[in-house]
Amino acid sequence: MIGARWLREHLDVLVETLQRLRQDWLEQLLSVAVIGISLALPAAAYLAVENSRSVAESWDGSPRISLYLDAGLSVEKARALTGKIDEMERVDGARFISQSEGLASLEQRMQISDVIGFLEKNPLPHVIEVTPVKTGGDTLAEELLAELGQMAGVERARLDLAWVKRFFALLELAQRLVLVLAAALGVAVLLVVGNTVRLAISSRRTEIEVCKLVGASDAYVSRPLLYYGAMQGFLGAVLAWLLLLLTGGLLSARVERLAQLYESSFQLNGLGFQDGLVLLLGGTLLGLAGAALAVARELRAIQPA
Amino acid sequence: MALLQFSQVYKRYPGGKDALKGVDFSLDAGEMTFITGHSGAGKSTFLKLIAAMEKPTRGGVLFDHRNLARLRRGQIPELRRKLGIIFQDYKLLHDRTVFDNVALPLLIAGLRRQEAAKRVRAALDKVGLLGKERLLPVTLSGGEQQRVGIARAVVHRPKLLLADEPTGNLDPALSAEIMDIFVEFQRVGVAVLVVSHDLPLVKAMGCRTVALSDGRLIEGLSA
Ligand SMILES: Nc1ncnc2c1ncn2[C@@H]1O[C@H](COP(=O)(O)OP(=O)(O)OP(=O)(O)O)[C@@H](O)[C@H]1O
Ligand SMILES: [Mg+2]
Repeated sequence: MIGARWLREHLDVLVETLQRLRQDWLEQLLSVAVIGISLALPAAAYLAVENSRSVAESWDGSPRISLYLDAGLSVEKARALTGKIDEMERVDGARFISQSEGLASLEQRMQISDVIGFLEKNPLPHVIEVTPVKTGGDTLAEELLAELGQMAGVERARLDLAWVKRFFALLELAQRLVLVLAAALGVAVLLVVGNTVRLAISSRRTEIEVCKLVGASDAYVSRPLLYYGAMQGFLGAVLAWLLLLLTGGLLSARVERLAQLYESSFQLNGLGFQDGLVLLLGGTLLGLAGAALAVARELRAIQPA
Repeated sequence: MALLQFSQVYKRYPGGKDALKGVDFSLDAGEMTFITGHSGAGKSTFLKLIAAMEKPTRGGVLFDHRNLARLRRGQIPELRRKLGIIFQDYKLLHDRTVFDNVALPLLIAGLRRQEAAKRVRAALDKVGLLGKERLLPVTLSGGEQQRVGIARAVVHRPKLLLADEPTGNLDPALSAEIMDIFVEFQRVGVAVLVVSHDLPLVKAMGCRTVALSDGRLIEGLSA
């Protein structure tokens, strides 16, 4: 019975709060917009990092070495070199991609044709793609890279893994930046909500005084204010979610086209349902906390006299 | 046992002003008493101590077996629910209807609106405002607003009604009407404590009267 009464009282206050929100909606809209943007920014940054990570993870984790051959090298010599490398102990396999094969695949990927007619000569070198033996790990790959790079006919050698590694390191940094951003903007939300609740308190000062005079507890007078803050945080989070959906919708077509260029089936991942719930919960809690801070600071000071 | 008991109560305000100096006073349940006295005599201070809006500097204020001097913050709401307070400036909420203003103490005590409705109407009936429930306070005359304030003060059946110059802004006829309402509540067992400047009116009521003079309390109508 106590539970039912408690619930009902809270529901009454909730309804009253909603009506109040409707009353000065323009003010509400502004602070909800600020909260929404403050929540959307770190969430978007988080999504960017997560998407980048899923791109990176789709790359083959095993190291691969690309050898760009000297420009003048004939196809026969290049094939011979490929065979030689393929025989090497620490090499799992070597694949020759001739100048013209490279061009054909490029033309197909970029959906252009007749590059030669345009450039007058094929700008690409012959390439050998070398896969080091799997058991060797990164150190072996790096040693192999040095060795292959010094072979006659090889202009430049590149280890793909190094790039992936660096990318992951960058991602980690970005992730930390997102946390810092989220913390800073979380504080901003606290302040925004705290401020609107403070204004609400000062505009309802007489009401609070009168309520206290007829026996209202601090909990009773603060309840609608806490709801007010929580509601603002919640609405801000809803707005943030909408903003993310909107940006996601605008970007996904472009991203898909870009992914096609790289022969990737990558798709932009928006905020998942679970992440969305976390966003709503986070926004609501931030709003509640902001209101609680304002209430703790202001309400005690309001004593009827 | 008295409902309200002041024993050797002193009140010194932060500025150093002694508003009450050794006041002894007692009020029985269901008793009605007037307090008179010059401006600055300490009448409002006296009422504020009872409503826990101020704390006594020294001495004891016993209300309903509780020493208000030792009341904790969290116990104040419970005390105030046993009181009905009426203000000279009414202190109504202007964005709420007469009904909502009167219902406030009941809703705060946890009643539902439907449960409160009957008692709100009964209270409005007693002050002659039945039928004005849906109006906003600003559309009422001063006397009507004060009666809304009275209805709000009695709707939760307090043990003690406090009124600080409730007729200060009203003409003599209206003032007499308000006083009569107080007498009616006293008849049904509510103790009433009224501060008033209006000596002729106080005399005419024929109730017990005490006077405050420069922070000291004198029994009788002598200030
Ligand atoms: N909050 C306060 N701080 C400092 N001094 C105060 C405070 N409230 C009242 N006083 C002083 O205490 C004295 C008694 O004030 P009180 O309001 O009790 O008088 P009163 O009898 O109600 O006067 P009035 O008839 O004018 O309302 C006055 O001298 C007043 O200036
Ligand atoms: Mg006074």
